[in-house]
Amino acid sequence: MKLIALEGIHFGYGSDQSEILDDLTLVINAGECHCINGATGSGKSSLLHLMSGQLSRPFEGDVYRDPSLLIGLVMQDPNAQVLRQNVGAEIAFGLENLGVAADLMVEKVQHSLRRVGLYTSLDTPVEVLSLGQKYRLMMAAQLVFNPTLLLLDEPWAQLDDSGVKELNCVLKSLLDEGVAIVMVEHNPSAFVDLVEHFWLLENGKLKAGQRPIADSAASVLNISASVNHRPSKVVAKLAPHQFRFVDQDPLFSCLQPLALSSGEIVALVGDNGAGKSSLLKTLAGIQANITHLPITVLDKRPQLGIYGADLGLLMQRPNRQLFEQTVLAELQFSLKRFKLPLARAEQILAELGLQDLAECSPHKLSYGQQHIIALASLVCLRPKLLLLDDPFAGLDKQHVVKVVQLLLQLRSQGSCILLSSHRSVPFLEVDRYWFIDNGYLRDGAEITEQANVG
Amino acid sequence: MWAKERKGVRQPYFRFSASHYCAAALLLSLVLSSGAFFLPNSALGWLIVIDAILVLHGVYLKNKVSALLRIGLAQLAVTLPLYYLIHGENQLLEGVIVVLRVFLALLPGWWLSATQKPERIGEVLSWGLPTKWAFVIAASIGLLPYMLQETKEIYAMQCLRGANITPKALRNPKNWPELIYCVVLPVLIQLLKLSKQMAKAAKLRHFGSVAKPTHWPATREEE
Repeated sequence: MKLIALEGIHFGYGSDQSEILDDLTLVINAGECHCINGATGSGKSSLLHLMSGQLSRPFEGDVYRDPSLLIGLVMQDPNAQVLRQNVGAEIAFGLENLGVAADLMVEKVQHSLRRVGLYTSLDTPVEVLSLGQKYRLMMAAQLVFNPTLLLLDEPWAQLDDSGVKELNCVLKSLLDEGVAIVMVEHNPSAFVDLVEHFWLLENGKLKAGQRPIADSAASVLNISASVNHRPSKVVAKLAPHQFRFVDQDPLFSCLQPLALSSGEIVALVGDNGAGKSSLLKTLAGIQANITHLPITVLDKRPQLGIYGADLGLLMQRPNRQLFEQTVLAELQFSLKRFKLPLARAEQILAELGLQDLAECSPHKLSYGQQHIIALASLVCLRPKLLLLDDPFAGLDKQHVVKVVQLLLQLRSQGSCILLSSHRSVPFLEVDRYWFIDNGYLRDGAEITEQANVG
Repeated sequence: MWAKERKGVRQPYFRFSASHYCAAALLLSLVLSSGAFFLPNSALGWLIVIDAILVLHGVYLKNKVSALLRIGLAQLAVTLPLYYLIHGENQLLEGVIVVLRVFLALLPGWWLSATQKPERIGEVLSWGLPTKWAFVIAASIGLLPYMLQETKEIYAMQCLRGANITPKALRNPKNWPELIYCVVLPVLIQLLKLSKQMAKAAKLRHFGSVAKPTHWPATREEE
């Protein structure tokens, strides 16, 4: 049964810009699973919003909608969709708007939570959930009113491996129930067993894409460091400790001392909510509400404002830090404040092949470009320790290559980089892994050693 | 047998639900906030006592009052020098009273947002206001803690980037514009983006589909 059909769709963001969607045609039938791939800024999210009927600008073309069509859309950033403070109330929002009786709500909400594998109390504050958990919460908030078409924007980037596995199960059961699914995704291989139709959105047109090989994310890039590096000076030390917020249970325990040395890249890997972001913020000295920890960074107890240009931190959604009028000014801001050579800004733009963006407003760039500019503004400081919170989230291949290029260059200059991710980063040659697993923070080498002994 | 015994028990005619409690809290907050502006100076002492009880209640429920105190102190630090410059030394006490009144007007709002859930406030407001207005007011109250967290994170990011906005640097008024460019401006951009996306998220979840939406029942914890 045909649920929705788009025919001859033309859409653009301004008369002076080329069309994002150019004579696009797509038909979705009940129980089908479609995956749309494409570079950032190619119009994938706009296409989802067009299908959901929430596009903010007019478009040309015909859209057929079956009377039974009920659409649920989970947008890329879960934080921007949270409307309530508690899990139960958040999921029930859709039910309230459909006039569902209050006494039927609790059961429906609980069922919806179970469908996405989120086993938490209905009174749980949304703010304590991790980003991946929030994504699942948003899915539950859509599934609660039984949509016939579910649209998902970049689920892989937000979820850890167990979350992706659970999502695969949820989506499979939805498909079995006849629900149609359309997802836009940079890594279609994560859902290869479900998807029947792969598409590539390029130059405004949908082209039939090839079926990717399962877990091919590892093979998409092959970048290696051009300069040999040798870890030397210790830049951060973590003595054994229990990581906990004040008056709360431990988030994880670190039983062995850990250290970070200059000239190495360490990847901190753990599931959503394991405490990766909190650890990075603690190392930068900006994590509030935390007990005293035996951690030293650059021979000092971490504290905001004591490291100057020697420490950089890129948080999630780094486009939040952009405020200057031009990209060049954005890159030069910290260089000016730390009295470093301003020429580094132009140099890094040239190395990234982004000179054309120098005079552009950073607010008008695509998500990927903003991400690169925010990272470049820290890299050009050449900090001794650079902390990156999920630096590859939501980036396409083209931008991942640029991030990897920046990190390898920085390592070759002797900086230490600690980056967090909810899965391993096979496309980047890291020196070591730290894992937060089952409530323990451990060095990857230690785990390998134990496995060998076993 | 049990059923017969139960039949004889008189059920109360009126049960004070979470929504009624919220309505009472909303009314109390409105009265106290208005009182902060309209009461004579001689009655402010009583208002301080009542507001102090609200603060104790909020703190007892594990809410932090430090941000509000900081706002009060910052207001005092800005207002008093201006009063001194414009009206001279004699009017300083009047300046303190003006700041006190503004602070006392803010306190009930803090207590309300700290003790009541936005959806419950939305439900109560929808008794007398159009649903859309009630949603906007409730969503704005619910947005405050998130925006406070965003502001803290953006502030920390810019401090790490070398912006002259550390508490020490801000003692110099020359650095105040930097706080506006680096923190206030990005926070406003985030707020605009967020409100647009929240409106979209609400529409996607059928907001406005029925004239009289139902309401999520109060959970045991809330009761």
